[in-house]
This record gives sequence, C-alpha cells and structure tokens, in this order.
Amino acid sequence: MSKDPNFDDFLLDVATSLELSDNDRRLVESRYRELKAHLERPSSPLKDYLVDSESRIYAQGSISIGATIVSGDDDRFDLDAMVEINVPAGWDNDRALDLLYDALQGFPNVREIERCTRCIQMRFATMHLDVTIMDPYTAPRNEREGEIFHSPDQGQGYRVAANPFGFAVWFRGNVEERGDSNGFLKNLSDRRIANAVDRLDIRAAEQDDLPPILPVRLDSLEVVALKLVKRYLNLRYENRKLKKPPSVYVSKLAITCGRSREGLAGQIRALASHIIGQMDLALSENTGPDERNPVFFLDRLNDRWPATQDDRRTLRQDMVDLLEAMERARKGTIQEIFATFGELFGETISRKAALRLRDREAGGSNTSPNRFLKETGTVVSAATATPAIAKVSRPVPEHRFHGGMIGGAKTKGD
Amino acid sequence: MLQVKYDLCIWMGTVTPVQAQYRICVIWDFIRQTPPYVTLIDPEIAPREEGNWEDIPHLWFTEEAPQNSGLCLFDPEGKEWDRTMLIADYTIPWACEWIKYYELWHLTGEWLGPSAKGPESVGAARRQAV
Repeated sequence: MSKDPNFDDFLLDVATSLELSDNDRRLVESRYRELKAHLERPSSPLKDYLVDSESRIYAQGSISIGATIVSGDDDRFDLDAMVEINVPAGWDNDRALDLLYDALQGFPNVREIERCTRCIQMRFATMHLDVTIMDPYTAPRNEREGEIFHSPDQGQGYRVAANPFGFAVWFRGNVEERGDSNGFLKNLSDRRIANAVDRLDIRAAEQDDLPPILPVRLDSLEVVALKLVKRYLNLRYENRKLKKPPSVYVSKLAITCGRSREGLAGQIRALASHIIGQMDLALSENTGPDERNPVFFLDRLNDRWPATQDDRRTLRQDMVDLLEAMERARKGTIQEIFATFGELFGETISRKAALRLRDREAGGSNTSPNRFLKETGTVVSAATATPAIAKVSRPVPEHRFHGGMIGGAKTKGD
Repeated sequence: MLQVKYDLCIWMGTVTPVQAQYRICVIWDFIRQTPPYVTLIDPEIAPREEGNWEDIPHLWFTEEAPQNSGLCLFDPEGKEWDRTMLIADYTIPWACEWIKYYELWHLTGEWLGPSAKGPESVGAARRQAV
C-alpha cells in the first residue's frame, strides 16, 4: 500500500499532464507511417534498400517503452525512429546518414531538418522526430541487432553496436512480469481519461484502420516514475552546458532499481537512490558507469556519458536535491506540494495538475466523497482510493460544512 | 492527550489529513453536551496570502483571536449531528476533511467540500449584508 496515497495522487496528476494523450498517439502513429511512405517513395535515394517483406522502419526510444513526455513548456514531444538498411560494403560511415538526410527532404509538414551526429532530426510544430539508420547484422542474428553510425561534422566516423528494439522488449517484459501494484493501473487509466490533453492536431492524422506501428501503451509504477524523473532532469539540464545523461541509461535504471512497495513516490525514491549509488561508485573509481543493453552486451547505453567527474557529481547532486524536495513536499500542505512540483517539474505542468485536482474535487457530490483512515487521520478521495486503501478506511459520514453565520458566530454586527 | 477539566473534556492529538501534520484540539462540554469545538493548534489557521481572516470558510469566527476560531463541521439545521455520535467516528473525520478542503482553498481560493446553503464565511456574509 502506498505510504502517501494523497501525495501519489498529486504526482499522478503531474505525470498524466506530461504524457501523450490517446489522440496524440494516433497522430504520432501517422507520422511513423508517413516516414515509411516517404522513404520508400520512388524518388527516395533509400528506396532500393528498404524493400523487404517486413517493415524495416520502427519506433524506438521512449515511445517504445511508454515513457514519452512533453519537452519544456512548449508542449513538444521528442520521438525516435529506426530505419534498417543493408549498407553496401563500399559506403563510408557518413554516407548512410547523408543519404537519409537527402531522403527526408520534402517530408510533409516538416519545418526544419538537421543532420546530427547519429541521427537526422525532423522538427515539426509540436514534435521532433529523430531518425537513426541501422545496418543490421547478417543472419543469424538476434532480432534487430546491428550497427548505427556515429558521423560527426569533424573527425572520423565510426559504427556503434546497438539494439534499441531488444532493449525495449527487455524493458516491457520486466514491467509486464511485475504486473500491477495495488490498483495503480486502474487509477492511472482513470486519471488519464480525466486529464488527457490533446496537444497535437488529430485532424492531421490518418484515420484508416492499419495495423499499429507503435507498441501499445506501457503503464506501471516504474514507467510513471521514469517519466517524472526524466521531466525533472530535462528541466535541470535545460540551461546547463553539461551533457544530460542519456534517457535510455536512466530507463534501464528505472527497471534495475526494483519495484517499491511504497507507491509512486516510493518508486521515484528508489530510482533516485539507485542513481546516487551508481554515481557514488563511478565517482570513487573515476570511471563508469558502463551500462549495457541487457540483451546485447556490445550495446553501451551510455557510451558518450559521463565524460568527467563533474558529470557524475552533477547528476548525483540532482538526485539528492530531488529526494530532499520530495521529502519536503511530502510533509507539506497541498499548496506547498504544488509549489515544489513547480520547481521540480515546471510551473506550467504544476499549474495544470493543480487545476485538474481542483476540477476533480469540484466535481464531487455535495455530500462527503472521502474515505477516512483512522490510524493517521488521513482523508483520501473515494474516487481514487486503491482497493488496499478502501480496505483499511471507511467513508467519512455525510455532512455539510456550515456557513459560519449560525448562532455564536461573532460578526461585527453582533 | 485527554484531559478533563471542570465540565470540559479536552483532547489534543496529531492528524495527517492530506500530507502535512496538524495538532488539533477538541473541546467537549459533556455537561451541556454541546457540539464539540475543534481548533487547529499547530499550525494555526491562517488566511490566504493578502486575504482576510474573516474570509476563511466554515468557522465559528472569533473576531478577537481569529486563529482560535472553531471549525464549522456540520449543518445544525440538517440534523447531521447529535450527542450520541462518537467524537472519534464523526467529529475527527469531519475535522480532518475540513483541513483537506482548507488546504485546497489555500491552493485554489475555492471551498470544494460539501457546504450547507448560505455564505461560506463571515466575510462573505458581511459583504452580502452591505
């Protein structure tokens, strides 16, 4: 049972304010379809390499593990796609990305296309889509194993072993195996329905009935905690010159930190503490961490981070600050909690979450929609009480607070 | 902590209605069997930033020492309370619920809990009367 049912409830409002709505997901899906059609069009320089019986273009990164969140305060999502082509032996390590860059020109509704070191980034009004190219290993290989290209503006390019698809399968398998946690999934699902914000224009999405490209949503304590920690890190690193730890690295730790028995806040504590442990070890040894893809040892999840002790110290301190702020908020009033959420997750998101709480509470009946835990004197909204809470609590007896003008109230006129 | 002084039964204890802890005091006149009088001791009640004491909703408002005002927990005309009701089963849950809505009021400026008809605060009543 959650140690802090109300605090977890407020965190859930923040988390569901950060994620893709179902409608947003449909638009994202249509972007992936457009990507496939665009790269396979007759004039595409990559078309001859993409013809295959199975799709060689697929979603990767946060969308494949259900951890996509909005970036900054501008309601933008960052998404990733992988394109597999059998790279001819004569190509140098820049050519595949160069051709992908050319092939993506003219993509519908794109505002800007940038060639990055390992991907091509397409910038749309409300999303960025990073497209990476992979040269798959020849068969027999584990599913989707191959090499991506590191192709900097200056200096020598090289290949990097990778299997993000396998990582996503590993991540999802772990989450699914652990199952639900005391009714958390139902609460999350209810809250998502209540809080869904369509940030993207669904009218632009395809409405046809094609097989899905995106994996189904993945929900669990671990994923929601990961979303919140990622959001916190995004804001922390926004104005820093230091490089942010890779999202996939933090994602792996979100699983290896284990499942907390103390609800969502407990899961965030578990992840933050796990990261602190990793940084302490790396700081003492002045090397690492060297986190590998659990299904493909050659795939180093954080191969370009950390570069210095400063990187390690900074992440460690961020996690210490997160733990301290969470602890402070956990003992605070609702107003203090949302003020702390503003510091941790951004003012706009915190305000949205507070509004949703307000709407939910205002939508109750004019009787007592709460349950009461006698041991602590805690009041939990009946609508969001998990079965475990319901079991140890009882309804607050019906009543109405009075207006304060009954006999005995002293007014200036008395 | 329970004390019996003269004809008053006084209980002081700590509750955690939402996340913050409050020390509250319940005073019950067991001779006259009037409704229990509940106040917040630590932290005391406080108005919203730049607000007035008299605008705190649902209080037995005490002008001279507003921080000692009691919580208005039920509608006397609605027959929601009678002297057979155990303080632990009715007054304390209602007081904790009051604190929850009081915290939400501090956040939003609105009282989101169940309210009897009429003005929510002495301040509102005074403005209505003008």
